[in-house]
Amino acid sequence: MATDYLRVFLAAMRGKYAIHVPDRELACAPFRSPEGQDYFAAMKCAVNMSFVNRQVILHRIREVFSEVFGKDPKDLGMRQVYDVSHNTAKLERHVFEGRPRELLVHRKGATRAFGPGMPGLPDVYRKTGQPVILGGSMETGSYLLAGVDTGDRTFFTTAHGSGRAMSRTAARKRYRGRQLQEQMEERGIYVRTASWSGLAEEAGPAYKNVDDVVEATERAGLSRRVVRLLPMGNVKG
Amino acid sequence: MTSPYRYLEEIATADVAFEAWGATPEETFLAAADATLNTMVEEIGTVAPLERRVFSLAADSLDLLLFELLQELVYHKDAERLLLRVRDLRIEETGSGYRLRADAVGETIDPGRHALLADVKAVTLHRLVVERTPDGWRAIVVLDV
Repeated sequence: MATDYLRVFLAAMRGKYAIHVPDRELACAPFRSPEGQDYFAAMKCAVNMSFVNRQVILHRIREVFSEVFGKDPKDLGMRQVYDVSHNTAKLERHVFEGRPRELLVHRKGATRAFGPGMPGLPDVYRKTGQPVILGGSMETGSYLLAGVDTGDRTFFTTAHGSGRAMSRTAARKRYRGRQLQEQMEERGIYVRTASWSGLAEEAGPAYKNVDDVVEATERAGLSRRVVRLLPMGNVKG
Repeated sequence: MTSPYRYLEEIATADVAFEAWGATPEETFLAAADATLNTMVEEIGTVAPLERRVFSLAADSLDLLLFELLQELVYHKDAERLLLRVRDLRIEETGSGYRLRADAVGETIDPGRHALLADVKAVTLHRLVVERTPDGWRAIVVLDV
C-alpha cells in the first residue's frame, strides 16, 4: 500500500506541491490534499487488515492448541489480551507550543503509550496507562511496560522493540543456526525455524540489549516497566 | 562463479542493502533481481522454473525502472506466494523515460525445499541508485525486510 502511494506522492511532490525531500523514501503530500487523504484512507484499510490478520493467526493458534491438548478451543482459556499496530499515522489532540492542537502523529517502529487517565484509553487501562509491549530477541524475551504522564514530550510515544545492532548478513557470518538452537534448548527455550541461516540472522547479540533499551525509555520518561517476559518458544521464518 | 552482487553491511542495519553490477543496465537489473531473491531464499538455485510471468514496466528513470521490477517480484511473492527468477530482460528508452520487458520463472514457496531467510516487505527508495561505472553499471538498493 505504501509502495503504491510512494509512486503517487513522487509525482505529486515534484509537480503540484513543489516539495523537496533529502531522501526520496520521505516522499509525501500535504495531509489535506486529495492524494494525502486517499493515502490516509488506504493506510487505515491496511491497519484494519493487520488487525484481521492477527485475529486469524490467533484462531489458528487456538486450533493447534486444541488439537494438541484434545480440548475444545473455548475450554482452553486462550483469548486475546491486547493488540496494537505500530506503523500508523493517527489524528490526536495534544498540547503543542502551549495550546491544544489536532496533530497527525506518525509512529514508525514506535508505539503509542498514552498515560493514565488520557481520553482515548479503554476503561480497563485508565488507571494503569496504555500497555506497551517491547520486543527483545528470541533469546532475551520481551517486556511489558505502561504509558506515563511524562510521555507528553513525545506525543506519548515510546520504542516498540530493541532494534538490530548487527545486519542480517553480519549475523549470518558470525553465528550458526543449529548451534544457537542447541544452546537455547539447554536454557529451556525452544525454537522452530524455517532455515538455519534464517535463525542465525536472529541471534540474540544481533539485537540491542533489551534491558538497556527498556531502562532508557523509562529514564527518558516515556514508559515504565511492569513485567519482564521470559521466552519459552519461538517460531522463526 | 560468484554472483554479481554483494550485501552491504554498513548502510542499513535493520534493512537489507545490496550492490549489484553488470556490463549493461540489463545485466545489472538481473543481478539485482537475484540479490532480492537471495535475501529471501538461501540458495536461489532451489527455486525451480515451474511457472512463468512476463512483466512490462515503465518509469521516468532507470533507477525507478529497477524499483518497479523489484517491486513486481515482491508483489508476486505476496499475492501468489511465487518466488521468481528473472531470466531475460530488455530495456528500451522511450520519449518520456524507459520501458522494460522481463521474463521470469519460478515456483510457489515450499518451506520443505526452500531455506527461507528474511521476508522482503518492500523495495525502498532510500539511497536507490543506478549508475555507470568504469566497468559498466551498478545499482544500490535497500530492501525493507
